[in-house]
Amino acid sequence: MTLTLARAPMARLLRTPRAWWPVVGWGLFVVLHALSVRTGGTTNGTDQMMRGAFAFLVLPLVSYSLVGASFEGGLKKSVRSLVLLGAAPRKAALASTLVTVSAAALVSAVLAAVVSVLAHGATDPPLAVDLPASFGTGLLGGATYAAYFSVGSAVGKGSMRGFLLGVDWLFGSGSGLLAMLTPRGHVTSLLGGPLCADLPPRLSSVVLLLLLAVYTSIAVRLTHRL
Amino acid sequence: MIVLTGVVAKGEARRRMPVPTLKNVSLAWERGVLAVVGSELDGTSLLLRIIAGADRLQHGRLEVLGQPPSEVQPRIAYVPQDVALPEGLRVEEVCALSSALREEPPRPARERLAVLGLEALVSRRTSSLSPVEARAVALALAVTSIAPIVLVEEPLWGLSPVAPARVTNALRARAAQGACVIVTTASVRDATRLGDQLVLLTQGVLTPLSPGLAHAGQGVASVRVVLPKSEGPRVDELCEILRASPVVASVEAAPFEASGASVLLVSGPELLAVAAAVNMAIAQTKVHVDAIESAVLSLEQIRSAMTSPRTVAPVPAPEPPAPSLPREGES
Repeated sequence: MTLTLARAPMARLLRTPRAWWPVVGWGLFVVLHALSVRTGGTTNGTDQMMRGAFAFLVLPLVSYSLVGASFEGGLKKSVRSLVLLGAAPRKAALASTLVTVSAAALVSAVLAAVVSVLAHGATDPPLAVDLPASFGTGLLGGATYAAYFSVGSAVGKGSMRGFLLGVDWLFGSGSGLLAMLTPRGHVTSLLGGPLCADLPPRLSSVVLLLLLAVYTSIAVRLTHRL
Repeated sequence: MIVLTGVVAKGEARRRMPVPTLKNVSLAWERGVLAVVGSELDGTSLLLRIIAGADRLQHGRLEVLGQPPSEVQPRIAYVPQDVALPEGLRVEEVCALSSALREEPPRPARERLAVLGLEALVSRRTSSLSPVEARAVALALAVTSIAPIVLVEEPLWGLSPVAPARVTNALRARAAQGACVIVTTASVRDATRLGDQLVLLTQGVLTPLSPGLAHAGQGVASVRVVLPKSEGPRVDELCEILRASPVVASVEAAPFEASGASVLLVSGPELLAVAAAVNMAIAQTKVHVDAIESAVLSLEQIRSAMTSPRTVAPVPAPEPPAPSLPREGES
């Protein structure tokens, strides 16, 4: 049933070209930036790019754009169109959120892999180690960000998405409670940056998985009444 | 099939608008078409949303097919006024998705859309449909589904000229198959046209409404006949035949100078008898008629009638309809 329900959000994402413009834009930006880092002679290009432009800008904004494209007018509006055709609201919300989370995870992982290859420098870890690590972090980070923004989309007409982006940028790093609850600090930690709330990176990846599950279930719960 | 007992609920608050509420609404409807007359602010949309499981009860009990609505969602076909179809899909894919979600045997989309004459939309993207077209598609899917519960908000609103008769026939056919159909409308005419039973929702309070009262008050029914300008000289002849009929209590004629059309309001104690007398008189005089329809009271007139029934009298309609395009199924 969830697969049947996934047809509509998948079609919306794949057949709406305007949904992909921000993604293409951020993709081009990060690719060009990675090339400029490499040609600039930086020896730790991947390290610099992944913790900088990728983690701070590209990863959250690509997920933000994809969630916005999937849930134009809010998650409730998207789910309502499926409920009118006979779907149960929670199942429809779960299917829509999972499709968006998967798309954001895949796009982020591919971008992370491209960046790690393009910006790879002499003092970066070997590509055979760095590439899967970057891919995995992009996958997990993109998915968690998409689930996080889905919660914002499930409130009203989706305007809370912008608020959550602001919270992530302002409080997403450091050792506070909000840093624990937002993806940025954990993603930066996984990419070799400062630890988030003094948690080891391995634990940060577990926290990201937990956040992914929790935010997905919150988004679904917020959509059970339309 | 649908049982509401002492339901109290509150709708969404909108800026500068009163919040619709339901106050101790009790209702049981098993099969046929129940027409709920009232405006959105009276709580008609809220009532359907509650039954469809889209809104929460504050108090009371609601059972749809013996269970809470959330448990029987695929068996409820709900068409609100502001329909949104899934974006990115073609209409035929929406039909297939609807069948899959309701676990119905797949049927060709053209066949389902033909009920309302919408075959031309079959390969269109939902994003290219106008709100009226999207609503018509949702309506077609609802009436052709096997869902035993059909809930439609303003079923005849915003449709093309021939569609109201098709929607009426389709909803009545579903009801005849045993479906439990509830429609809400602010149009008393639409309600009398569709409903087996009428109820009035006024500021969240539900009261039964007799079809007689909807038509013209206590024991009086009226039929409105619109004649084109060309039939002007024969209006008197038609009036005389009708006045001679034992089932007709009164005939009022009102010429409209702007269009030149004439409107007759023919009243009597029995709607069917009056309608038969009108048809006989038309056949006898061989006049051309633009429209024949039951004359109904307005929502406000019905509300005042329910508080003081003696003041009610048949009221002639103020404006004749446009002279062309008689609507299908009305004569």
